[in-house]
Amino acid sequence: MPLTRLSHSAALILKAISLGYSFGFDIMETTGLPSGTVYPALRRLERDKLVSSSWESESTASADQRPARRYYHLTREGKKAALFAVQRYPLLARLLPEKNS
Amino acid sequence: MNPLPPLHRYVLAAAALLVPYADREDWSRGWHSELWHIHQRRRSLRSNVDLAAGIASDAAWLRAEALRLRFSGSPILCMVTLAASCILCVRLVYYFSGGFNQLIDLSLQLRLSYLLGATIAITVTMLTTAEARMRYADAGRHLPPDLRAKRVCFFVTKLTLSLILGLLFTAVVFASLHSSAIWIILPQIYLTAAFVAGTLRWAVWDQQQRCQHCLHALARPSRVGRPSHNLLEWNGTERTCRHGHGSLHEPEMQTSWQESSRWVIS
Repeated sequence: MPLTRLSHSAALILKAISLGYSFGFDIMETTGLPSGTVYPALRRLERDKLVSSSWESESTASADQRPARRYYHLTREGKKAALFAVQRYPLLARLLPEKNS
Repeated sequence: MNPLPPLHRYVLAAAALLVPYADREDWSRGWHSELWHIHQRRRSLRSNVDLAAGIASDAAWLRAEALRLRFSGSPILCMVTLAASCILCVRLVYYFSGGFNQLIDLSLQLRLSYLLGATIAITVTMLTTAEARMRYADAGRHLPPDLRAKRVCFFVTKLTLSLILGLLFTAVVFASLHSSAIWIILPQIYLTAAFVAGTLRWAVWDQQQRCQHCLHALARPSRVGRPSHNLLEWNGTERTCRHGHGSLHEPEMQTSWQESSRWVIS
């Protein structure tokens, strides 16, 4: 996907992932975007190879007594796109706080 | 771990029907996990409504994507698009001319311009694409008869629909002008010839850009060779069939060993 076609919500999601918010609900809470925007946007970003996803191991999830999470990571192209997004939307950097932990 | 509340379970079960079968298990697992985390935060009723919309739109996106992948570049999509464009043009002519009677009851002047324009366009297209059509027919000789028949059928239907679309589009332009002056006949002839020739040429070009086996549009164009090595090897663009039937080699420059596009079976 050409970087110039990155929408504001996609840019926000990429920035959130780059800051360490790595599963759907976490991204939704941080960005304040509705679930109807976040989940399809994550699928589009994955289709365009800007993010990749992997399931957390069952043993880690069981130890914390919760279901396994699907984690999203930025690919090399995704990292470039996240940098481009901050240049294009300078306020993004101020909108989202760095994740603690 | 606490089970999900009934509302979320019902919404998930209903939306899962929208998700393509191959993705359903992964999708359900993902949403069960997300909903469990959301449920832990004891969300309000408004959030629940938003979540239901999210689940539905996510499922709908997956279905739409599966349909896009299945029909993108397919001959069915081509036919449907052409037919839909024809219907749209008929609706526009109806809108501009004020009724179907005017549409059917064409003036002698319009009939003459359509006939002349279409004849010029068909003759020019047939003459200028004769070589390309012959090469295409030659390339398809190795195919079994049922596939050849399918190709011819698709081409003839596409050509017919393109011709109708070209004529209808001209009709839309002139219906929107609301003029019956005699001077308009010349622009009508030229415009009809231009539109019809354009759509016919597109039909021929589109046929060459499709897989000879499954008739899907060829994808993934990639540059092959270098112009400076033209005397040693071909250089140009290679497009491949996404179903793996073969690839089309389109030379950038005509050479004695490759004058035109060549279909290579995988």
